[in-house]
Amino acid sequence: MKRLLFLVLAFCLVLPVAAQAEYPESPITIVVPSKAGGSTDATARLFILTAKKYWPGADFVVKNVGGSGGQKGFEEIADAKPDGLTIGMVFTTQVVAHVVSQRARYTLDSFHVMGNINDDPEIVVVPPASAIKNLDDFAKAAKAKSLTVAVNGIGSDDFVAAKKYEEAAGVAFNLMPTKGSTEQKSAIMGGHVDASFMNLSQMFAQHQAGQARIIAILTEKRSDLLPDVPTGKEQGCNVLMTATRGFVAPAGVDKAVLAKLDDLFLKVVGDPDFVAAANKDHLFLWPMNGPEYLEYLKGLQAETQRYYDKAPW
Amino acid sequence: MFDFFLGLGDVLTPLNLLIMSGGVLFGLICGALPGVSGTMAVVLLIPLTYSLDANAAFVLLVATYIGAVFSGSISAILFRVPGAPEAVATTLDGYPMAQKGMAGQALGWSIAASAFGGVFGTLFLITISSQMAQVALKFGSAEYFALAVAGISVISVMNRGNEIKGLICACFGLFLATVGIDPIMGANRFTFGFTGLMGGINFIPVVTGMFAISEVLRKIQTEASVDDQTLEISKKARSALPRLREWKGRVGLFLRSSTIGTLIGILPGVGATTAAVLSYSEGMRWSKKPKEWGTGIPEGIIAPESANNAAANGALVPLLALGIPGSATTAVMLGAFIIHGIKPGPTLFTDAMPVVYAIFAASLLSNVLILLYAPPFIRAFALLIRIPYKILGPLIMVLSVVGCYAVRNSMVDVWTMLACGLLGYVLERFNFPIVSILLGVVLGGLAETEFRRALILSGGDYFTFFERPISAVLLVVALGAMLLPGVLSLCKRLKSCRAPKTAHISS
Repeated sequence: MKRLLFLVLAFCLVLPVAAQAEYPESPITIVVPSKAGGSTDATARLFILTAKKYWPGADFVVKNVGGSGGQKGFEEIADAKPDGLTIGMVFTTQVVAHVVSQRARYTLDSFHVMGNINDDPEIVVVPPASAIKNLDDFAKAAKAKSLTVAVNGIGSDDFVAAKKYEEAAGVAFNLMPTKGSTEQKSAIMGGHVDASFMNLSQMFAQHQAGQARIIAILTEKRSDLLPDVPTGKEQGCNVLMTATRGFVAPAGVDKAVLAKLDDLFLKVVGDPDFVAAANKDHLFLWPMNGPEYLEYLKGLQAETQRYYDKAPW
Repeated sequence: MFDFFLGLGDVLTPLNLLIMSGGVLFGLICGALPGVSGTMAVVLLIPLTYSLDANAAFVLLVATYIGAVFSGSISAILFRVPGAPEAVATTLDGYPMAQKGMAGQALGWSIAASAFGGVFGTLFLITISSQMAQVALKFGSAEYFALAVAGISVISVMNRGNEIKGLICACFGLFLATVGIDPIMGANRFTFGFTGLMGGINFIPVVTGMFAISEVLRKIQTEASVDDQTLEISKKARSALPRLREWKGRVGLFLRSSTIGTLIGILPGVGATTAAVLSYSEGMRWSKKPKEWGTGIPEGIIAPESANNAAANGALVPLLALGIPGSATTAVMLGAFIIHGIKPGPTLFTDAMPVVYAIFAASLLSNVLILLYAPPFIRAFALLIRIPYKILGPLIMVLSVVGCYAVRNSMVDVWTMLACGLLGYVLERFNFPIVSILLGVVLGGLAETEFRRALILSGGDYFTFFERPISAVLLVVALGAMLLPGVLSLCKRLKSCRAPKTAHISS
C-alpha cells in the first residue's frame, strides 16, 4: 500500500513536468461543424490519417458540432482556448454568410486561417424528364414562369449561387430551402422541383445513371469527372461558385505554435498518399495556403455582402 | 432470385461470416450504450474498412447497423432509457412490461419482432427494391406532411377520456419542435440568443428526460421497495423467446408493422425512428383494445420493434437503387461506397453486383444472428440491474447525461434533458400523457417543414393537400381519427337523451 502511495505521489510530481513538454502535449481537437459522415467530416478524418505520419506522437480527436449551417461549430472554434489544442474546419459560403447576415458571434478576425483543402463545384441540375437542356433553356423557362428551385438552406453556397444567377439572368426563382442534399436529390429525381443548385459530388453518379441532368458547372474549368458538362461561362453566364473546405485555428494562438500548425497543414495537403486518397474519395483538392485562403474568404464575404444588401434574408 | 443464391456463395466466405459476427456484436454493444447510436458505430468502423475489400467492408457495416438498431431496445425495456433513437417508442410498453416482472418476455418479444421485421424488410429489399424506390420518389412534401399529421392524430385514440391533457401535451411537443432555426426562412425562433438552441431541441434529450430521469426521480421516493423490485426484475431478465402459441392473433400485427416499417424506411428523408413511432400509433389505432397500449403489452413492443428493423433494411432501398440515403446511417454508408469506388444508383446493379449480394446476404443473416447472439448478450446486460437501486439510479442518470451529450456534443442537450426530467416528473404526477409530447417532438419538425414546402411548391394553394391522392387519403384518416371520439360521445349523449323519451312513448 505504501509503495502504491509513493508511486502515485511520484507520478503527481512528474505530471507537471510532462505537461510542460513540447507542443502538442495533449490531443488536438478538430472541430468539424457538420454531422459525422459528411464530406467535411471525411476531409477531417483523412487529414488526421496523414497528419499522424508527420506528427507520430500527436493525437487528434474529431468533434462533430453539427446543425445551424455550421454556425455552432464556427463559434466553438472562435471561442476555443487559444492554446493550439483546438483547431477546426470552415466551409463556404456559410462561414462568411453568417457574418454578413449578422447572426454570427465571430468575424474572420476571430480565426487564424491555416488554408484550404478542397472544393466541391456548384452545379445546376434539373430532373431527367425536364425540357431544360442548357442554361439558355433555363433562363427562358424562368422568364416564362417562376421556376421552383431547391437550395440547401439559407446562406449556403447553393443559395448565394442562385441569387447570383437570378441577378445575372434577370429572373426571380421560387426558392425552396432544404435541409441537406438528400432532400434536394429526391426533389430533383422525383420531379418535385424545376431545378436545383447543388454540388458536383452530390449528383454526378445520378447524372451518369440518367436520373438527373446536370446542365452547367459553375467553375472556371470543366470537371475531369464529367468532361461533357459545359461550364456556365461557356454558356455565356458568368456565375462562379464553389464550396471550399479549409482549416482554421482560433485567433491569439502563440506564433510558434501557429507556425507548426501551418507547416503541418502544408505537409499534409502536399502528401502524395493524401492526394491519392482524396481523389479516390471525390474530394476535389484545391490547396491554398493561409494568406491565399484568407484573401479568398474576404473576397467571398464582400461579394455575399453585396447580395445581402440588395435583398436581405 | 436464383442469381442471388449463386451470389451468396461468393459472399459467404468463412472470413466474411466472421466479420459479420463481429459486426453484429459490435452493433449490439454500441446500440445498448445510450449515446452511441448505429450511425456513430458505422462512422467508427469506416476507417477500418479502408483495408478490407468492398464485399467484406459492406458486410461489416450492414451487420453493425442492424445489430445497433435492435439493441437500443434493451435499455429502453430495462431502464426506460432508449439506447438508440430508434428504440424511443419501445420504452412505452417495454418498460411497463418489465416493471410487471415480465422483463424476459418483453426482451423476447423485442428480439422476435426485430428479427421478423428485419427479415421482412430484407426480402422486400431483395425482390422489388428498384421498383419501390421509383414509387417512393413520388412522395412529395404534401404526402410527408399528411403522414406526419396522421401519426399525430392518434393522440385522440391514445388519450380517450383524457383528451384535453393529451392535446396540451401534443401541442407542447409540437412547440418544442419549433425551437431553433426556422427551416425555410432561416430566422431564429425561441433561442433567446443561445447559440446552443439554434440547432433546435433534439428529441433524444427530451425523451430521455421525460422518461428515464423522471422515472429515477419517482423511484427514489419509493426507495424501500425498489431494491426488492429490481432484484425481481433482474431474475426474470433472461430473455424468453415467445412460444409458438403466443404468436397466435399477433401475426397480423407483425406483418402490418413490418410493412409500415419497410414502406417508411424506403422513403428518402424519414428513418427508422419515425417508422417506429408511426407504427406504434397505427398499431394502437387499429387495435381492438387501444386502452391497454402503454400499460405493458407485447403488442406495444412488437409494433415499434418490427417496424424499426424493417425500416433499417428499407432505408437501404433508396440508397442502393438511387443513391439517396433514407436515414442518417445510410448517409454515412453512402460515403463508404464512394471510398470503395462504388457508385450507388441503378448502375450499381450492373457494375457491382457482388457488393449488392454482400449487402443482401449481410442484412438477411445479421437478422438471424440477432436471434442467436441477443439472448446471451442480454443475460450479461441484465446483470447490471442486479445492482441495488441506490447505485443503479445514479448510474442511469450518468448514462443519460453522457448519452445526451454525445448526440451532438452539446451541453445544451444535457440541460434540456434535466429540465425535461423535472417537467416529466411533474406532468406524470398530474396524469398528463407524456407519450403525446413524444409524438409531437418526433413528428412536429417533419409536419411543419413539409407543410411550408408544399405551399412553396403549390404557389400558396392550400388545396394541394387534397388534390394529391395519397396525402388526401392520409389526411382524411387523420381527420376521422380526430373527430370520431367526439362524434361517438355526441351520439351516445343523443341516444341517452332520446332513450327515456322512446321508452315513455312505447309505454
